[in-house]
Amino acid sequence: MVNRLLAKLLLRELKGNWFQYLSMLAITFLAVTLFTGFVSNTITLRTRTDLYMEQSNVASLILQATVFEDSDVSFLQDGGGIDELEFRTYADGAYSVSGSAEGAIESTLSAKFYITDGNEKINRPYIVEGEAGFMIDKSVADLYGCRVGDKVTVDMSARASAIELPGIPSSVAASVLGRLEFTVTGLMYSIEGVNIYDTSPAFITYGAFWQSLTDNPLVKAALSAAGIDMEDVIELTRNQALIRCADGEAVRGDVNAYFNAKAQNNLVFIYDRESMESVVVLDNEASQSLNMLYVFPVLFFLVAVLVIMTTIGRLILRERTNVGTMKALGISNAKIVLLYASLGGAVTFIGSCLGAAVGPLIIPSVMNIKYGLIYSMPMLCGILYSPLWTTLTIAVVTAAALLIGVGCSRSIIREKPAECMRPKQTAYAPKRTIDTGGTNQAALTCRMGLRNIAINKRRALMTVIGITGCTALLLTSFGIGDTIDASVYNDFGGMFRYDVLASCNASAQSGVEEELSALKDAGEIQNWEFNRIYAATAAAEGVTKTVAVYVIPDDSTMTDVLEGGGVALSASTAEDLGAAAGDSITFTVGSCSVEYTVGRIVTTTTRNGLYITQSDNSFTEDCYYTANVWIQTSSPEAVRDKLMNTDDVLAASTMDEQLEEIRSLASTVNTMKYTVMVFAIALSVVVLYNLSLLNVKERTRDMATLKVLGFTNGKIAATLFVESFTLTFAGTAVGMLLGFPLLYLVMKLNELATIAFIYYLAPLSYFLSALISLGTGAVINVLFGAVVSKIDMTASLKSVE
Amino acid sequence: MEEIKLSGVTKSYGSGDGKIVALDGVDFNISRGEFAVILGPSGSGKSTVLNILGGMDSADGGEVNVFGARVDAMSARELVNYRRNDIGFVFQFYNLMPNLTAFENVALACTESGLDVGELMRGVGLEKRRNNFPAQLSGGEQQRVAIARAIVKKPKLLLCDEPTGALDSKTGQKIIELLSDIRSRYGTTVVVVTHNASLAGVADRVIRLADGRVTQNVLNENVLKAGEIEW
Repeated sequence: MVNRLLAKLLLRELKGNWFQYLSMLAITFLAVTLFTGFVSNTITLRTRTDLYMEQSNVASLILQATVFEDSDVSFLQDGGGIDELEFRTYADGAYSVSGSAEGAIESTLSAKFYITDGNEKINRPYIVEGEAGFMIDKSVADLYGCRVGDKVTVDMSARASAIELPGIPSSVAASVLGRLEFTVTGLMYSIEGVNIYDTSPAFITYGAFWQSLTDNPLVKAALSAAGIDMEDVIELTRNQALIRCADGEAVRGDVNAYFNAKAQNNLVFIYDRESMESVVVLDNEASQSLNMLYVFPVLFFLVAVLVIMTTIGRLILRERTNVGTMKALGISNAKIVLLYASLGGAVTFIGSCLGAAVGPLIIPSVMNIKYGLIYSMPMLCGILYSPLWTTLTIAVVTAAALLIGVGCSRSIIREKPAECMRPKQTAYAPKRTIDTGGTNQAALTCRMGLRNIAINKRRALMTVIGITGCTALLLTSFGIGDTIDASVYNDFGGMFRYDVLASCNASAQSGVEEELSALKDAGEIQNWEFNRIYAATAAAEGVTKTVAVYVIPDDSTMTDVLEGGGVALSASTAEDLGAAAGDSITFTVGSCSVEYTVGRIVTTTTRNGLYITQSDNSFTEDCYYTANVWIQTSSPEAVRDKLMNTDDVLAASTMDEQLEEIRSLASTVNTMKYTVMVFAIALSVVVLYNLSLLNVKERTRDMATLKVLGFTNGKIAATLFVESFTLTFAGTAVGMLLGFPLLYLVMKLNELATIAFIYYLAPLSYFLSALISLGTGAVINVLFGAVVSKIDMTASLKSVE
Repeated sequence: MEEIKLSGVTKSYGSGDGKIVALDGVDFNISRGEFAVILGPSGSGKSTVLNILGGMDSADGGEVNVFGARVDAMSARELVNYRRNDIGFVFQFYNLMPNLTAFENVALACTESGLDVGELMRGVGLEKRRNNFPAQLSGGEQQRVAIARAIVKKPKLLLCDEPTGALDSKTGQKIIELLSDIRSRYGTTVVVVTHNASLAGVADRVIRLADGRVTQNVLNENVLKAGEIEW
């Protein structure tokens, strides 16, 4: 019977004073929303990635050769430990799309072409629409408005030397392979093209490739004369082998031994699943998502604990008389404690349940916007909940609230019933008093507010931490934009000073030079510089990584990256390799290895890798490379268009276009910006609401007394404002200090493989963050200031009696 | 002669069946400088009368004249000024600001034309306790601070709601003595509301209330000193 009545009491308290528990409910909701949201996001992303990899049947090893000979094929087919084996032809290059969908953008895209038999078993594409033939990436198709049935022009002339066609001279082959016509037969996702901003994958069947080749009557005649059919083309061009095996290390050892033993080693490289960029990127993303759990929710949980402590603590104080009465009636201490602890437990339980329901809906959806902007991969599963994590979170949060409730009620439980029934005066008797000077009403009002902080230290701590968190989060959200801008400006506003960037294959360099000379003669461009880019494998102590090597002209006027000459390593690459200035690192391109001693570390955002001058370049000419052309001109768009119309240039873009592309890529992190901002303001509203509510409730009697003394409502509200503003100001100041470290942490957890951020917070961001924090405080104060006018003097002053 | 005059004052709380009539046509007058005691059992309406007199509550009907001012007709702003300048309040449970010292509590109510706070602290015997916080003072001391706070502005009317209700008899006597002294020293009209009939001995005027009506309003012909009354 007693238990039932106590339960009724609890429910009526909750029903009657629900607004007092709003902050407790809100902060629990926010904390659990974030926590379960990130848990759900991590699980969803991990599952999605795993399903995708399983569906793709990711290769354990990928072997790249110049061309596999029959003996190589036999060795691999007979080799022990290999469960599945597949050969294909790989060629890099570009394709031009002129999509038929509404709003289609005509563009030339760097691409990696996988020519297969159309029945891939390993690293198989996930077909979304159409069928094998010529399939392009679904995200790229959406981006450029391309549909099945659209025509594309493919340029794989860069691999002309690798795709040797008997009877056709290499110069003719380059020309033929530089302009192959295809019709898009399907749209797909490929595990080898997860990063949207990386080179886009395209799958071509040998049949379609043969058809496109032989569409050219001259090629058809030449091949026919040489007695070459499609099967021969397959044999003559297959240069990649995909292997599925249980023990990759053992197979890699065998393969290396076999090719090293050959008189002419035709193996270019071999890499395993863990080195596959998509696998690494997706693994990193899942880890980053997990790491987010430790950043935002922790802050919210900390504030939640303080909010629960202050709210329940105040409730217990308010309920002193009732506690005394219950004790006098013989109700056990345990039951009384349970009653008040249950209040906190019940509210946090509701908040947790709401958070657990909303979090997995909001956070993964927000994060999916980011993933959708960066990654091209199928949505193989919906948003996943973890019943275990959800239940555990709700249970732990509720249990924590119950424990806090028990802790808060302990002191009152020790008192005798009669003591409880006497009004308790706030025992403020400090050793040192806060003195604001003067005894006029303004000074005394100020003093009351400041001393109130000293009395309610826990509440003050809650507010300061909450506002600190809010300000730091706001700074983080603004800092995301600042960092992106600073990073972009570092490269495109300072480090590199060209107007148009064009790229071409090494074989096309002379042709491009001719074009540029003509343009220079016509006065359309002022200057240009060629620089080579190699994809090298860098081996430092215990670390092996693919690194871009940029070869800059000795007398370059378009970059400061090698000012003073020497060898420079980008900061991001140095960090990855654990290298510092003075270290010697071996870079391998193909079969050519060169050791360079790092002269200095340079900060670059997008162009990370090794920088050497042309005179320091020891890589042999036959290594694969592409060439970038930096062009200075007064009419970038016109020069870009002219270059794009030539056969030699693979791609050309203006500095502004590159800036925009980088901004767009980096701004994927921006999707979090507004979410962070909303949560930051919510956090500040919750703590300030709680502080103001507790103040109003606890000091109703004081405020009624001030009314009786003839204080105006404004002056009474000012006593609340002093405390609230002081704490808001303190929290804002601390938040300003913590903003940058939090920004660094968040950006580090969201770092993109292609961009090394230059962390920066603009003065305007500090100003805006402070303005929002203090402004939120001011709004809450104004709202609660209005409550003062509603205080009934007679009722408030009568209550104790 | 200016006076305090209540005519046909009514006040009720709630509505319908739950309506409680607190004052049912209260009429009385108190002359300037008098020490009046309003007596009555619990629920008789004495605190309501005090609240209406002090501008803390409004009457439903009737007229409330305090030294020529119609309190029942005052606007909210006028009531704030009235409370700030003309009225001093002393409560049963002191209602001091817990985070202000005794001196600061008194200074809080001080107006430009008010008394010197330091002198007043000496006057109420709390010179040595001026820097103590309420939690460091006894009940009697706290009530002295509350009285000092109430009279520092030199109010025309000092309203005391059960000022000895939370004190022992000895301390209570001293508080009444202090109130009498203030009345004599500053000529302040003092109205004390209490259910303790023994306080009637020190009053110039005794008003008795029962069920929201005045049952007696008499002048005391034999005013005793605080030390002479039997508690």
